[in-house]
Amino acid sequence: MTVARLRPEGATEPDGRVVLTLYVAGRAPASARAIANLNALIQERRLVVDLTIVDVLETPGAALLERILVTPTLMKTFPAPHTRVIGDLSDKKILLQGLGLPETI
Amino acid sequence: MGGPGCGKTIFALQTLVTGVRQGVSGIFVAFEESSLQIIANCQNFKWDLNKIVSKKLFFLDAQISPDHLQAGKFDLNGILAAVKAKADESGARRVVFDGIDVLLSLLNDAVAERREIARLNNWLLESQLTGIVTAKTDCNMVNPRLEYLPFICDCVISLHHELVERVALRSLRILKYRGSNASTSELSMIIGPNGIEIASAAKTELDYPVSTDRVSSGVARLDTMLGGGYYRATGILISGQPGTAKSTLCGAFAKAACERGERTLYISYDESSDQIVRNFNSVNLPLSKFKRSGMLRMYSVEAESQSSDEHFLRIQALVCEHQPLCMVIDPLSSLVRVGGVSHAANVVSRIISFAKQRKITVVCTTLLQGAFDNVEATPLQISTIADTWIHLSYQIRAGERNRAITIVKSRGMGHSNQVRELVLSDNGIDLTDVYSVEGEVLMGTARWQRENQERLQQHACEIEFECRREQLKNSQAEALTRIELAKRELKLREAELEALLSQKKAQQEQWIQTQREVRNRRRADLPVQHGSRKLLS
Repeated sequence: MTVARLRPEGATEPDGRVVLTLYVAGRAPASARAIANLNALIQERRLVVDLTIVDVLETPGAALLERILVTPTLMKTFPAPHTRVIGDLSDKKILLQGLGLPETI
Repeated sequence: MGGPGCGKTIFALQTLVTGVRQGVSGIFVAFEESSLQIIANCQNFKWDLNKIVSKKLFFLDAQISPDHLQAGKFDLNGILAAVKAKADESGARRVVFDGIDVLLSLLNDAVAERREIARLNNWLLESQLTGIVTAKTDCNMVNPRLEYLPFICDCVISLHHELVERVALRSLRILKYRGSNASTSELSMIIGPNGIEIASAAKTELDYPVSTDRVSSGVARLDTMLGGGYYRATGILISGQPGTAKSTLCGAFAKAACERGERTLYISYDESSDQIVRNFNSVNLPLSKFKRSGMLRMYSVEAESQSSDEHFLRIQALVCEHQPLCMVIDPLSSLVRVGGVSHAANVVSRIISFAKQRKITVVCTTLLQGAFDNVEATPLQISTIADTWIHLSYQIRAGERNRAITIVKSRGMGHSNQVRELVLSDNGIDLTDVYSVEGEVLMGTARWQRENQERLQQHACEIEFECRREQLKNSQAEALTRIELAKRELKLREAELEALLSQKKAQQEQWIQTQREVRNRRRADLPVQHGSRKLLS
């Protein structure tokens, strides 16, 4: 499990903190893509994010607990509402919708 | 795999329940319905689900929420990890993935779906779990998105649910089973109180116990025609058109069985049991007391109410419950109405085999319809399964219908080849001789007339005989009298002759005396000496 506070360089104090958990499966291609896609968005939108990455292959109990059906699954637990986005997050429009962010800056 | 409503979920869950009973825990991953729904829907089965759920049987809800957003491709690692965690925690060895296609279809990519199925397969191998995956198909057992699935799996079972003549029939087929010599024929199944039950036992060898014990048909003369009655534990078929007294013969059999103290099961597909009892009362076959005492169990149901397989299982259940020695199924041919002839024929064959194995003597009837008056063929081919086949028919002649009974066949016993008339009266069933005149069989009034005519003829003969006898007696007496008269005459003649002789002798003596007297008086000759020879005649 990797926990990281991601703060892009030069980002000012957070106007909107986001708590995310990304469930991945080891080095599965879709999981790797999801991490890359999420990182790219955080950089682009200069977001301040509490991101936890959970590898279900290492901690299957967490998958059971959170009822993770597929990997990758991205969970937003803050701010409300809770949302889940499944898939490699290659669809940016859906990802933004899941994070509750506007499509355009 | 199978179409909608064919019992995939029940099949999969039943496998787990059976496993639990054998001490193997299982996990049910529900992609389509929620676990609560499934548990509620399966309450009707005698599975004791509530007792085993969350102890030996675990449900994982895996319905993808409609609120979930999908952004790109994914894989199944999440659920596999969750199941692995659950399996490690609970020691489960069997996993059901029910409706995994719901999740896979979200990928919207045939190649990706295939990859995920392969992932699932590898995962099962690695974790040494037995997996049951249900998959949907259309009526032709094809699902273009999952067509590779049967090639990956070790065992593929396809479930069918189809309508035949508006009756639903379920069937199951093992498409393949690696490393097993399983039958790949389609087997009938039903969903009953115990879950899925396979109706057709794969038992093909005919090896039921045989008996030389005879069972009365309930009609004395029919027993005689059969050489003592039916064999115990055989199938007896009574065929005939409507109203030929098939049921009445069944009733006679049932009554005779009850009187012997043998438990009897009477299954009717066209009349209610009270109606049957009332109707049999009219031909002196009272069954109500046996029904009350429990010796006779009557079960009436509409044939259309369920499929022939369900009828078979119902009969099985009734037999197990009542433990009869004799059984009546009237009319067995009703099963044709539910689900087609070939299927019903199969069921009928199973019913008879089942009864024979349980040493039950089963009398069943089959209705012959319509214009095929003399066609002694049965729609269900039961005739080949039945050991004894009695055919009832009508003879229409001189404006009358009369019932005729013949024994078409009776395996392993000598039986009469004669046609007999079956007569129903207040006293019950009787068989009477028929008259065959110039190649035509006489029954009913014609028979009665013929009998009357014969009686008159016989009467006339007797009178004639009496007359002749009297005549002969008279002439005999006459002759005797004549003999007596002649005897008397003979005696008379004898007496006359004697009298004549003595008269003659007296005359001669008189003459000699006279001569002597004359001589003496003349005194010219010597007196006649005594002892001197004289010629006298």
